[in-house]
Parts: sequence; structure tokens; C-alpha cells
Amino acid sequence: MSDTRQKIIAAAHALRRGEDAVGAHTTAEVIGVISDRMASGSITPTPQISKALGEALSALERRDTLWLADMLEHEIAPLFLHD
Amino acid sequence: MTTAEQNSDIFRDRWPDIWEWICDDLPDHDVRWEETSQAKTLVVNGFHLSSAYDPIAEARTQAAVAPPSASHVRIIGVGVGHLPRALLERPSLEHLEIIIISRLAFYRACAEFDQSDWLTDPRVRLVRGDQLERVPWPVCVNPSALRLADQDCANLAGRLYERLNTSYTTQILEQNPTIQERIRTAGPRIASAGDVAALFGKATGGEVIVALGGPTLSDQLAWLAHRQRGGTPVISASTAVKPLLAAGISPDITIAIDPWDGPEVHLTGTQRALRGRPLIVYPMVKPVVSATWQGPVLIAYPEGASGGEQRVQALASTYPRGRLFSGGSVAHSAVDLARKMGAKTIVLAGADFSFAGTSQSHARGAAFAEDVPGTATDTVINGHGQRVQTQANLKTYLYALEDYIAHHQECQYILLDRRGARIQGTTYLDELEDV
Repeated sequence: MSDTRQKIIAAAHALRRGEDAVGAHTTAEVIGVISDRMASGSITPTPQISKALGEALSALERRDTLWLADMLEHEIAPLFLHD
Repeated sequence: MTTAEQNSDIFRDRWPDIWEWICDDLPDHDVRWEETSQAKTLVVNGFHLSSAYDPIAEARTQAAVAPPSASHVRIIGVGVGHLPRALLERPSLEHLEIIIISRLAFYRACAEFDQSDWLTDPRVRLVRGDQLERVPWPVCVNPSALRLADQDCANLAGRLYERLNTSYTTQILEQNPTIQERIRTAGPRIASAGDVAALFGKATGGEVIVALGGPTLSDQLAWLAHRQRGGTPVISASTAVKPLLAAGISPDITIAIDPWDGPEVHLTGTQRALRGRPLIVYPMVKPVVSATWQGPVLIAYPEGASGGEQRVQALASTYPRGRLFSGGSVAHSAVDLARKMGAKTIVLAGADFSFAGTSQSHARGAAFAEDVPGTATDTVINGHGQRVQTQANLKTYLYALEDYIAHHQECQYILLDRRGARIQGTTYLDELEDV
């Protein structure tokens, strides 16, 4: 498993256990990484990715942590499958 | 018979009083389904009760907080029911204590999902969260219950949140290279400064005011000025210094513990007015703060939850100085100083740990004071029994202060304003006749 993917899943698990601080910190990092990759063209900004990112950011803001964890683990982490 | 009826029948049979409590006067709420190709869950007031992709794996992640061989496990929040199941699968488990802090989340889970398997398990015991002040650790948590906690369980939920997140925030601070370097080079600065312990015992049996930078400080200034003229010493957090000076109150002692930019900004331009008066700092405070102070600088080491860092301990053994309790906020250190000065009564001004129902983050005139947007998701209960908006870190500080007060009952702690967060262990000024 790639480092980035592992990190995202670890953050999702932390969120599921109620450890928001570590989860939120990693989420911010991950969103930065994805933005950079989109800018460099290594990730294509599909509607699915945009939707997952939008959902993750909204969940982060609302502190709906289980949905944020879902977005990270099940929608965003697979983007880094072959990282 | 519907799922809801089946679950409620079990409740009425096993825990009739708790079921009555759960169902009694539930607040209005929004509820909807969230469904993916893999699973579905309920969303109550905007919070997902569980994963909508793999709630069983999620429950196993939450259950893993309890050691595999544990015979007695506590949980907070059941999600949609998978967390108790994940734990009851363990043959070594003898007792599963389910603490209900959100009647709403619990009720909805029982109304929409079959919970009969674990509700009938003889190892399960239900506990009302509103009857607990603390939850022994470890505890497996479904975080949706923390978000949806009942008002009378809000304190318990906040404490759990603090416990779940403190180690990470402390770790971030301790790993910061700038602060580490500042501590590494602090020796000469400490050697040339005084010792906070010189103040210990200087107010034996008396009253000391601790002024903090919360928004209600702005409305307490006249009372504080009157009190100070009567001889009560004022210890001011660096945040509160400018509002106090603007009201003609020169704090007798100033204290700064924040390693970031705060104290420098708080105290810029105040040094001349406070010439000759002591400033207390932790070794990790920016050196410019003590270098520009025009009075004695006294060093204190942090003691307590945020003060266990190894480099600080090493400094303390080379340059012994007094210690002040640190729970992350200057409020803790200031209160501990008042107690160690020997105060019998500690009056807390501006100790709001919230926005106190105002639109301001701090007292008027304090550095960094700004309008708050009114959309904060964190709340605390104030002295009027109302929910007021706050921030997660302020709640952490509140709970640390409450724990401190619980351990130091030799003092009386008086709160001046009911609009800020209620602080367990304190008395409101308006409840007293002779102060």
C-alpha cells in the first residue's frame, strides 16, 4: 500500500475512533496533495473526485467525522492505489 | 411487529426506566438515510451515525480501542448497532457497559435497525450518561454520539473529546522545531531571571483576582477597579492586559505562557505602564517578551498535562524554578499562581471559555479580538443554563480547569459573569452576599 494511501486510511480510522485532531490535520494535508497532483496533471479532476473532495471539505467543516472518514477511505484513498 | 416495536419491547422488559428516559421529550430533529452501493446509515441532524460504506469494519476499528482480552468494556454511542456486536463477538467479554449520552442517536438507531440480538445479551448493561461525571478509560467511542450529545451530557462528551485529542495536540507542540530550539537555548535567559516561587505565599488567606481575556471581562472592569483599590491583587493573563490598562487597572502581576506570537502582541506598548511589576513566563515564551519587559521577569516551569516535555524537565533540574499548572491555557497557570500565593478566594474575571453569547472572541481592546461568525459547532452550557458557542480548544481548557479545581478544594473560586461557560466547582458572585 502506498504511503499516501496508508496515511489517508490511518486518518480515516482515527476519525472513526473520535480522534478528530489527527484526522483533520491529515485531511488538510491530503487535500493539499490532491490539489498539487491535479495541478501537475497526475490526477485527472473527474466529477467523482471533485464531488468526493467537496463532500470531505463540507463534512470537515460540519464535523460530520464519520462521513469525512468515508470520503477519505472509500472515495479518496483509491486514487492513490498505484501511488 | 415492527423493528422499532421489537426493540422497545426488549427495553420495556429489561430497562423500563431507561427507555422512558430515552423517549421522554426528545428534541425535534432532522433524519434522513444515506445509502451507498455497499451499505446505508442514518443521518441525524446532519451527522452520520455510522459509515455508509462499511459500518461493520468501522465498528471493529472503534472496538479495537479496548484490549482484546478485556473482560469489561465501556462504549459511548452504538452507531447503528455494530459497535456492541463487534465487542460481544469476543468470548472473553463478560460485561459490556453502554453509556448513553445522546438519547436522540440511540432512539433513532433503535427505531430503524434491529438491535434485538445485543439488547437481549445478558452481558449488556445500559447506563444513563447524565448520571455520570467521568467515564473511566479506555472507552470505545462512536463519535456521532459526541456530536449529538444531550445538553445534560455535553460536559461528559466534551471531556471525552478532550481525552481523545489531547495527546495529538501536545505532540504537535512538543515536536515543533522552533519551540524545541527555544527551550534548548533557554538556559542563560533562565539563569538571569527570577523565580516565580518568590511570589508563593505572598497573599496568604486573602483574595486574588485572576483576569483573563474572555469577552465578559469588558463588563467587569469597574468591579475589578473597585476591588483592586480595596487591596485585592490582580493577576492578569497577557491577553487581558490591554483591556485592563484601558480601564485604569494596572495588573499587579502579568503572566504569559503561549509559545507563539500572542504574548508579544498582547504586551507591546504596555511595558512602560507596568514598569517595575513582575512578568511571569514559561521558558518557551518568545525571548523578546521578557527582553522588552521593564520589570522583574520570573520564570515558571509548566506542570501537568501539557508540561511533561523532557527538555523542560532537564532545564528544571539545572535551573530550579517554581512550577505552575499547565492545562494548555494561561488561565490554569494564573489560577495556580493565585493558589500558590496562598489565596483563600480566587475571583475569575473574563473566564468565559466561550464567546459568552456575544459576537466577540475576546474582551474589547484585547489583541486578536474579532467578531465571531456565529456558526461555531462547539457549544458549552453557561451559567444561565443556555448553550453558548465556543471552540474545541476552549472546551479542553475548561475541562482541565474543572479538574484542577476538583483537586484543589482548599480555595473558593468565584465567577463574576454567568454568560460564560459554567465552570464546575465555582460559585457565582451573585450567589454570595458578603463579597
